[in-house]
Amino acid sequence: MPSFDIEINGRSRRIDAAPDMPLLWALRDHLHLTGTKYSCGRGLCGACTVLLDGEAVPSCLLALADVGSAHITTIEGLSEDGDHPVQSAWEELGVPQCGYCQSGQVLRAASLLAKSPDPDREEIRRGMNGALCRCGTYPRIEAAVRRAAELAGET
Amino acid sequence: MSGRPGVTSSDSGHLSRRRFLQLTSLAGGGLLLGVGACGRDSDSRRPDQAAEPTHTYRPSAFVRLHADDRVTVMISKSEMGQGVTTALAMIVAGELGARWDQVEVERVELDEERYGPQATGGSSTVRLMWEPLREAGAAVRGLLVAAAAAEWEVETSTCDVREGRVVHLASDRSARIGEFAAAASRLSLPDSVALRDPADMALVGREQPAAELHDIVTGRAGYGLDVRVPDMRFAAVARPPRPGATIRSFDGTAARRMPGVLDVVQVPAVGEGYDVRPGVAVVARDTWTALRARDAVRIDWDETNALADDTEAMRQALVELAGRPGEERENRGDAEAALAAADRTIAATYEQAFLYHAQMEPMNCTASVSDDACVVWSPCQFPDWVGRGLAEVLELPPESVTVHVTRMGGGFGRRINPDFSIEAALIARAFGDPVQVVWSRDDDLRHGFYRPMVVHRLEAALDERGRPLAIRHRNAGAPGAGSAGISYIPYRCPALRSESASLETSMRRGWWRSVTHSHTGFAIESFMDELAEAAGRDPIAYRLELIDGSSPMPLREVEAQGAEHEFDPGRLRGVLEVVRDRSGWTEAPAPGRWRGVACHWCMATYVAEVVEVSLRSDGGYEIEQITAAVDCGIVVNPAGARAQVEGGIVDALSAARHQQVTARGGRVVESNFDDYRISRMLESPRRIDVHFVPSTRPPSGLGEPPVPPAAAALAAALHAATGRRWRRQPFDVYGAEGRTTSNAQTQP
Repeated sequence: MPSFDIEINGRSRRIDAAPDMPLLWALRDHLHLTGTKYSCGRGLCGACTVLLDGEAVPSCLLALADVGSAHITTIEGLSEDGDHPVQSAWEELGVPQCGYCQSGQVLRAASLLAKSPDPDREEIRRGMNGALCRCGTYPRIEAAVRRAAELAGET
Repeated sequence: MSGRPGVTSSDSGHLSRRRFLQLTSLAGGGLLLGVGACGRDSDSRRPDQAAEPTHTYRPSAFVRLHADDRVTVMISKSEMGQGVTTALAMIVAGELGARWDQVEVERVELDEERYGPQATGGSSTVRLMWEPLREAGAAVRGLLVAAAAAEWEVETSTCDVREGRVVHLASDRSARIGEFAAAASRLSLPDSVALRDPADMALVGREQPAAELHDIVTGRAGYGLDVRVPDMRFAAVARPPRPGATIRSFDGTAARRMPGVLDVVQVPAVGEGYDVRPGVAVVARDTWTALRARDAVRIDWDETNALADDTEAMRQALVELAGRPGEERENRGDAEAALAAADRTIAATYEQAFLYHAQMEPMNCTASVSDDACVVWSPCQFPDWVGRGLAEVLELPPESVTVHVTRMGGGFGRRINPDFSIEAALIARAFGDPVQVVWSRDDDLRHGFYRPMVVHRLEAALDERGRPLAIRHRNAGAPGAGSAGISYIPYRCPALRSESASLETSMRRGWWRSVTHSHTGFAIESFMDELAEAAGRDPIAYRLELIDGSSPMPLREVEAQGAEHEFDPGRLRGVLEVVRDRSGWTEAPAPGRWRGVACHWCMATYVAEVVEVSLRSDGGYEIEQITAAVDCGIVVNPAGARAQVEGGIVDALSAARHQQVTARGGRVVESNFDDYRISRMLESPRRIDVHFVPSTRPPSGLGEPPVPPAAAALAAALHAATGRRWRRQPFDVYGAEGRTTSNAQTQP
């Protein structure tokens, strides 16, 4: 079984698994980082989103062999104390219902704001469109991204 | 520890129960208080089984108060995002007088003797737990007040618990609630429990952050799929290609050779309502390996008796059935004669597809089974059914079965069925070590328990002012859960005839958010819009005139777990008036905008919705704005309540516009979110305004009631915009159909 050294949340982690194993499963089953969620396995829903060098990508489609030396950030590593502006805005506005999609939503929002710190409404709706929510929290997600932009602008 | 019983009584309006309290001192200076009900009590059963009356002590709430002020509320219901954890804790703490930051929640395992009915569904939790939880909070408050009053040598009537402190109102004297916990635990229980005026329950009616919010946004909240126990392995199951297929033989040799694969075991089919389909499970050291390796298992499926249902053929058959007389369900007045004699008649047929639950967390269950015990960690809604099923199928005594209920990534009724939990236990028993069975998304979609396909045909005779003299309502669907339903027609109509017909199918059926109402709401409210148009009347004014309490519909709804509710026409009119006043209905919409309205009543909650749409140049439409009015009694958690209404509407519209499960030759066609579409952000309403009718009535359900009117309101708005009728769901697939038939040869 080959070995991969992958930088996750600032630490190098060794994973012994097949090269084509998606990072999603290595995170969940080998490293027990279960914050990244499985929902569709085909990059359609965004629940498995991680940041690869800051970019939101579906970890269910990212093979271990393709990670290389990229920096991977999972929801557990987004902030030390859960106080990233997106996380703070999510809490302030009470965004989650069942919460299962929210790891992916939070990371997608973080990535969006890192690239575009002051997005307008259409940019938010387009940027977040890739992340599904079955509970229908879209109105709150949209408001929380705007709020997160405000909070980030204040610091 | 000693538990001492006491008896109290409180009048809860239409249901009066005697309650038992049980008080226990805890080591470390705390107290444990249990509240139970005695008398006629409904057992938690599957929704299709009648409740049996029992006369036993059934506890239903537990609260712990610690010396350090922590208030632990035991949560005995399933959390699937509907916010019960937060709401239940708020009720206890609000009645007690604790601060929200003093409250913690503890999810308990299956133990109905201790915790009472644990089945979660039917939008019933807050409604059924409102009283017992208030009594628990009030009892603790009463004990604290008694202990403090004794210490301070003042009258108990001069003390209260507020903001987490016991206070003497006449002076500045106060103490932390934890300071008196030990003394309170040694007191005699009161003869009666004085409940606060709900307006004085400081936490209730005010927004509170959800109980586990921080864990969710930091990825620490654990769902069923996140369960990790020592020595646990992962399994994926190769499932039948068609219902009724069985396994002649299988060869797991190639699968076993793959690195990381540990075993290949057969999953026996289980009938008896547990609905475990036959399969072959691959057990591996991680999920990916299990999913890959199951493709390498060679299975010889015997499809001799496999079923080859075709949903398109079924639809046509149902349309035809709905056009013929069916089994009588309601008959008041002489609808047949009125229809035959009328100068004006209106008829329409509404078609709705099989729906999948599409919950974001796929089905899964972790199980550990030995010769004499079984433990499961299951994201399930009916842990009682799971426990009974495991005991029966594994042939274990019930006390040897442990069911841990995890948080779940959406339920919507799919997690009611115990199939996935029993399947996991069978695999774990065969394998020997703990196993987590993971369903892939296409497993989940193709082996679901769908909201049935149903066709409704409504015909009305109208008087000279366009008001209904008679309505004949026929529906046709597959038998069982949530299919053919009675006619929830709240409108004045001297004659009503309701008939249903059924058609068996291999497509499994289950309970989908709002169950029967999900399709009757659409059919009846769409029909009302057509009648209003025929009458030349404003759709809201028309409805307000006809909701006068004289409707022929059943006046009493018996819901999940035996709770009853009598229809109140004033409350349905009330929500219509609110959306009329708050949506701008009485003025013309902005140019390029059109509106539609619908209302519904179910699970003791009344909802009206106005949908406003615009048309796009490419022939599509945007949902610009939705105004919803809800009368659900007291709103416990306004933030959570609004979320349920917004979410229910987005969900309902998503289904109405995009969703259907189809089958050809017995095989489900759809497989993932590319062909079974959940609405995305860009397709969702741009704005949803929710208005709650102020009320002092006890709270009623919110998880489901916002769903039934949404599709009809959208169809009515689209009719206003296009002049065409939208009678077949999903709308965006099938488009608009024909025109209303009026005294003409009827056509589907």
